[in-house]
Amino acid sequence: MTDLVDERALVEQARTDPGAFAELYRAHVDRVHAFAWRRLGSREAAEDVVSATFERAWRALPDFTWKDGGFPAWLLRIAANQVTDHVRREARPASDRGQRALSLLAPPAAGAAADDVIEGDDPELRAALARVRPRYAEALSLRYLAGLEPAEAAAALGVSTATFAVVLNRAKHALERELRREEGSR
Amino acid sequence: MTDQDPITRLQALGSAAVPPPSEELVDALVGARLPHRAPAPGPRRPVIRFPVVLPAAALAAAILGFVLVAVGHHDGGNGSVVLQNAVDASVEVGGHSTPARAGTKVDDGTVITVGPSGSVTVNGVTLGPGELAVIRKGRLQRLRAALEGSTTTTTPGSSGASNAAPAWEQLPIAVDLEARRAASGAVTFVWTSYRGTNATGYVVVREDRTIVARRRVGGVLEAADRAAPGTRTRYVLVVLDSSRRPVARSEVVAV
Repeated sequence: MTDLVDERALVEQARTDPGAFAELYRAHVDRVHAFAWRRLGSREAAEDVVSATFERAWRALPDFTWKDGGFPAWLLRIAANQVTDHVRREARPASDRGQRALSLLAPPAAGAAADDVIEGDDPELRAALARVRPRYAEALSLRYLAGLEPAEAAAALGVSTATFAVVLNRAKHALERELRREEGSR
Repeated sequence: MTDQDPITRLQALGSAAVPPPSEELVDALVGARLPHRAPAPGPRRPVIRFPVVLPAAALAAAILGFVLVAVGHHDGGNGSVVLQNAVDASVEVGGHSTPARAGTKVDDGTVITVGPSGSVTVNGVTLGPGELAVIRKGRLQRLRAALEGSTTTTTPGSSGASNAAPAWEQLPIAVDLEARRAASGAVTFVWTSYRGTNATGYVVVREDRTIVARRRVGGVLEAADRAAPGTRTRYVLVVLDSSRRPVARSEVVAV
């Protein structure tokens, strides 16, 4: 509880004090980074998301209001949005024609860098997550990849816990469908 | 891995150890970017929840639209008629209401609302005070019955205050509506199921009186408004019973 109170005070201070925000940054950067990496599967993409997330958080902090989950949940929601944007950008050249053009310009590397591979990674799951609706991906990610409690994830998404439960349930089914579809296509 | 259920896999991925971000990133962010925040914006805008400004007439028109579709009367025909006479009345189409005048040409789907002292004549048929009708295939169809007990007529140009119960604001809030604006500008909705009995449909109504979605109870609980205004807009979800009367609603959400 004391930590929570301290953090709340720090957030208040960070509204006007970059030094306080830097403290918040150092306290949460690992979690945001891990979240982004698990969603996107690469250090480079995760760092892009982390950068954009904290930049946006800094600019939006004057409008931040404390809810369930507090600052971390709010921050992770911003990160989830950034991940969604990243996935959307990456999906744009996914047409066959686009892929052919890209492969001519930059042949795929033999493999990811050694430090870009995480133990317990699940690329197939991540790919399926990228194909479900962004809303569903956000709900699943905040709940299971970021580890937010249902009330925190609901607050992060700006919905009631009842609505969140509905969204999450649908998201699970959507993800199952995508995984089955992927299995069926192999 | 693939024989596990998705949630187990998500949890496993969520607990996978990830190396910390590089120090270069930390330094770059803390040292360079963060202090350059734009000037703080003005006072925070309050979240608009109440009072709700959807007038009773708006809901009347909205539900009327739902009734037309729900009972299969709206066929998208393109007949149009000219109002021969119009006193104290309004015409509404596509969510926009304007005072009715003699000589006004109205198309299929136009809803005509006659005020308490008004009248409208179309093709020799005259609507009396308080009547509601819709143009369909170039003909006038009275639709009062569809709205009895749910809403009331209003004087065109008035603030829309109702003079009969139940005012829609008094409907019990029994469903959660959540709205979110997508990057494309569309507004997507998801809501919880209505747990009462005798409900047959949902309508999502935009504050400019447009019905943006209709769903049957038992069907999907989501919708989208792809023609949403670019500015902050309010929506409400209304639950309709088997007589197409509103029985419950959500809180108004602004997005």
